[in-house]
Amino acid sequence: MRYLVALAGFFILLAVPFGMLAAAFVIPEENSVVSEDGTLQLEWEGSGADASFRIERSKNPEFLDPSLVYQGPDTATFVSGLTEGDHYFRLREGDRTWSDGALRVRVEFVSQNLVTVLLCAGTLCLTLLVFFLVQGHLGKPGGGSLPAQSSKPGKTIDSTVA
Amino acid sequence: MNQEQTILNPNIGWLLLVIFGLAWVALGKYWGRKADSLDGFMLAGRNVGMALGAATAMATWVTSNTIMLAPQFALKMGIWGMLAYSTASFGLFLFAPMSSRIRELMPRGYTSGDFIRLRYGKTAWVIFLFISFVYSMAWLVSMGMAGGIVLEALAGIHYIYGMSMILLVCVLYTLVGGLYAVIGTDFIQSLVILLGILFIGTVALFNIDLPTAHEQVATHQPALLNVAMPVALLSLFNNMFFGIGEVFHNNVWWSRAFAMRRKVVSKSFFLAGIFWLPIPVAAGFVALFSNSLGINITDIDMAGPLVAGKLLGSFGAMVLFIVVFCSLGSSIDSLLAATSDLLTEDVYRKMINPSASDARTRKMATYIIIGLGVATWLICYGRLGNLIVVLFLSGPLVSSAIWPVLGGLYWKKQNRTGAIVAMVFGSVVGLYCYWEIGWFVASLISTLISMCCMLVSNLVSTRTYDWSELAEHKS
Repeated sequence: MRYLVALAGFFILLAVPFGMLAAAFVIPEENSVVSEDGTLQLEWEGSGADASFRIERSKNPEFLDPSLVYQGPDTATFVSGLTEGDHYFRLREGDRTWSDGALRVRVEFVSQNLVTVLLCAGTLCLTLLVFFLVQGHLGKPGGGSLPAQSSKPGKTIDSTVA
Repeated sequence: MNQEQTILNPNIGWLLLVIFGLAWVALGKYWGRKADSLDGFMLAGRNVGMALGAATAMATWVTSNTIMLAPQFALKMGIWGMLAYSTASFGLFLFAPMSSRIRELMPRGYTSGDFIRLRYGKTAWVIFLFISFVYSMAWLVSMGMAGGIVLEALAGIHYIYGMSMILLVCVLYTLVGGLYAVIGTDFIQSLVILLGILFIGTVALFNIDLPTAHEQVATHQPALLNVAMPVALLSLFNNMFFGIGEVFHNNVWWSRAFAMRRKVVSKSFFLAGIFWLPIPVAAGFVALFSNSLGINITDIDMAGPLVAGKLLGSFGAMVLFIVVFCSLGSSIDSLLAATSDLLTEDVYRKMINPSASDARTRKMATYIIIGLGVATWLICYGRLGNLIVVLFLSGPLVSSAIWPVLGGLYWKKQNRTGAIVAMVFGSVVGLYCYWEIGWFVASLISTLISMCCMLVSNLVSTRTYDWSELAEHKS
């Protein structure tokens, strides 16, 4: 009897049209990822050729206010310009059900303190670079000067190598 | 993954590839008839005028990266990203006064390696050669890869075939003509690039409804319009110092400084910067509004070609194809020539065979060009990672050389220990930050570390350098 039930279940599974299974994201592989620059590469798989896919994004997992990310036959898209915080993505092929579980993307920008420090340091570095370049070019004291005319016979370049 | 149909018919793509390839090789052969001496082959007789000088500098700096990475920057980081890429022009602007200094100090110099060896000694020289070689190969590989990717995206030419053809053509005409061929073809390529970008930019402006496009970006990609976007702000400086480091250290630019007439060298580099600056802005601008044009970017590496292809149709795709081919050619030939000069002069002639004659050295240069071409092809064949990863990994290395070069040219008290520590410490810390924080800070931090090392060593140093040692003629 057990074997009959198992066999029946097997045939029921076989009878389920493959196309009723939801499309799914293949990249990223995890259901939850972190992005530090607000970008994301999405790739997905569907049932086969001539499929049309729809991807929606929302700031909440219930997709109360979804916005369209992509609709068409492609199986990849590059998302950018996401603001800080959590973003949820879901995928659907044609009129079928949405993908199982939304993809959560947390956007965390680089620390503002680090940015401030590096920007200030970068500005200082650039300023000093330009300053010393201009100073040297104008031949101010402390900067370089043209080589003096040598009265000695020319030495070989290699003689100065340590 | 998906893929749209190619915009350009593959047969047309192959036809363009063959026509332009044959044209460059023929021109290279024609101009190369003057390249019989070593000075002729390596430095175009040291007599290049301002028009050719500015054109070759601009064309060399317009690489496929300019056309492929600038759109990526804009798409990832918005307005600042678009401007960040254009800050690479600072390298040309700042190198302008330095180039005349280089000519004054080293009237008979051949390579940037010559300078470092004379100024700082053998240890610094070896470190510098390592940095330069790693960067040159990274640049060559990134362009080889980009060429294959773009030709495949635009015309459906298989990646391997497209990449191979581009490398083969560039190796051939660099071989037969040396720097004469490189500079001559660069002049034509620079005109094609400028006209092509002007065309693409104009078409884009007519096709994009700016208010609508802005509203779309503001709604769906708001971070791209955020002027305080951290990654974008950091990439502004990072890219700037990366660009400065590339130009300050690499023999591509030093060989041009040695090749140009002394009176025009500074103006030529400055002009080149002026002409180059708007190109990445134009390329990035188009990509920034790709969403409003209904274009789905499936792969960030293909953002530029996809947008241009969709926007411009078949004719426009042909224009883009030619522009990309020219930009690839103008940079790959320069890299092949300059890297070959560096390896020939600094490694072969200085380390392996100091008594080599000019004829023997010239022959070795041709072998090295072939070797570089083969090595690049082998690495490109593997088609490793994202283009940004390939190139920006070398950022911390080249940025660490900015201050040693500047100090070496202008500061009498600058000593070799400071230069060595600056390059090593800057590179190591920069690479560490690359992996730990991100690519967008690596070059910036490397430059800062290098600067501190150089300033400290200059302050504590008591010895002064005799500039005349740089001006000595070879025996």
